[in-house]
Amino acid sequence: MERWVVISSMIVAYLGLTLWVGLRAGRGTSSTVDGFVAGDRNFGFLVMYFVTGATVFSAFAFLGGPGWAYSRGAAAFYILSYGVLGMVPWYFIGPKVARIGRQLGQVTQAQFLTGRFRSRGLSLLIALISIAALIPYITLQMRGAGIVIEAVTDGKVPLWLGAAVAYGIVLVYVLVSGVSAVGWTNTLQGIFMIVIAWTLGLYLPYALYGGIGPMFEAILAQRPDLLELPGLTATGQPWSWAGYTSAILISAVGLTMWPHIFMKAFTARDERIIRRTVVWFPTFQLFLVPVFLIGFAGVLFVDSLAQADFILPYLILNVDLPVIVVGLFCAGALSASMSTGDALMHATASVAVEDGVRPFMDLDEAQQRLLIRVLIVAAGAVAYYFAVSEGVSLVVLLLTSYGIIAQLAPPVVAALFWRRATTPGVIAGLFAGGATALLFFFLPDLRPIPLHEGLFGLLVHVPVLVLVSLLTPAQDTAEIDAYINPPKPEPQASVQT
Amino acid sequence: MHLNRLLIRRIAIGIFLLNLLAVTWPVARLFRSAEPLVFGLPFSMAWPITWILIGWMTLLILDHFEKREEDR
Repeated sequence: MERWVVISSMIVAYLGLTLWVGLRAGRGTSSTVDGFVAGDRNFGFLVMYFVTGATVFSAFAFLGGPGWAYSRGAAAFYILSYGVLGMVPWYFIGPKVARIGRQLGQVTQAQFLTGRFRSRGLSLLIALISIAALIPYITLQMRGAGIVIEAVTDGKVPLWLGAAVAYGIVLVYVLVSGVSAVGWTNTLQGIFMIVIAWTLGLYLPYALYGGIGPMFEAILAQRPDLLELPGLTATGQPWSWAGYTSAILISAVGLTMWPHIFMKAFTARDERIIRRTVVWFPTFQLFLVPVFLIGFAGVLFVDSLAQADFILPYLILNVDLPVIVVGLFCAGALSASMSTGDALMHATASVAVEDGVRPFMDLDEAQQRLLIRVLIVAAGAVAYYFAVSEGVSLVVLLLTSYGIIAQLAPPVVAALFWRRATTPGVIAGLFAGGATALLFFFLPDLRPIPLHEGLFGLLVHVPVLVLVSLLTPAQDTAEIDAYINPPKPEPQASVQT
Repeated sequence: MHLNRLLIRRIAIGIFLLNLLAVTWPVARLFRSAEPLVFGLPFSMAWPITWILIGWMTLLILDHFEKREEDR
């Protein structure tokens, strides 16, 4: 049998397994909006751990991670540095968000914010920001899946078909089971990702160099500049410390502000589970170590690849590996792509309906669920259109959206910890911060120092939020109390695990 | 006991601030070199990995005390 047939069969088997898990996942969940968007707030620790980990680490980590290590060397270590720092604030904020959400019946980030800062305009603004940031992210995941399938089947299955099949399956299980499907498939995919990354990350250095130490010694002998912080830029010039440091800062601030991650606070069964998820997140973060080892393995083996993101498929196909390893790699990459893509599509549609439409229009439960499902298909279609059309630089779009998403952090902190914050203050801050970030993105030469544009956004955002809040009438104390300290809910008897 | 919890929280937050300083400019400049290799890994890579492990330990200890407080 030909290689690509064996590999394709393994892909089909893997996709079938995912579909089966996804469809089974929704059986215990109520057919309400609460059930579809927040899983009846009944996710246990295991599922929350994998949802958080597998959602954070996307196709970008599995394909982009080795690509960065291969072409930019030590620059990739910024990804190692920000994860834990970005997740730690969630230990304190996450449980508060979950409690308020449970008490006031919220399922999205905008609902959480407008619970304190009552404004339909704010709700719409957050919905638009979220969707603008999420669509390019979905597109990246789809392209990732398509690229992998095209590469390992020798082009027999082209990108457009591979992406369509993988995401057709995602669409089916998300439509049927909602966030429960995201939870259980991410558990499966998370295990796949970790096991495969460690296997390949240890196997490739041994197969090509005889070990990890010998590999780095060989690289040091020929490319000593590559492994020194802060590494290189995409064009091979030394990267600036300002760029390296601000990449860490903006990613750490933005990490838990992504709607598809923030919203998972509403799915946890209780606050304890959120805390345990944060405590164990560093173990998932270590998954990056083998991912980078894979990329470094290619440094002396592959001469200047035009597109660094293809290093992993390229190595896999040209190093004459056993066919089963290639198939496994493929399953790992698809896991990484689909486990983020499903959460993104689900979050996009939920946010669009709950925050963009519902504040302005009365919808009953059934209509809401129908509309969310329709929009999941629409979000998928838009992202698919971008995924198969060439020419749009998506990584750039994604990095930009991090700057915009980070602007959601000051309002969240203000909602929880600053009683004097007012609705006009928050809206003014968002506009000022967002506008600053966009300005410096389009006109980077205006920056006084080469920091990430999102950081400049925050530097403008926070003073505006504070100033406008102080200049506008304070909120009613009773109203703030009802929001910040909602009475602890009675412990619910858990129905299932 | 409340004081104890507050103290542990402050120490934990202090460690994470140290973590932030250690992996960013200017402190990270001191740890930028690729050599020596640590368990076969370049020093510049072992450095952030060490901080992941420190962060994990800190969270485990913090959570141990927070949990004890919640259970009371």
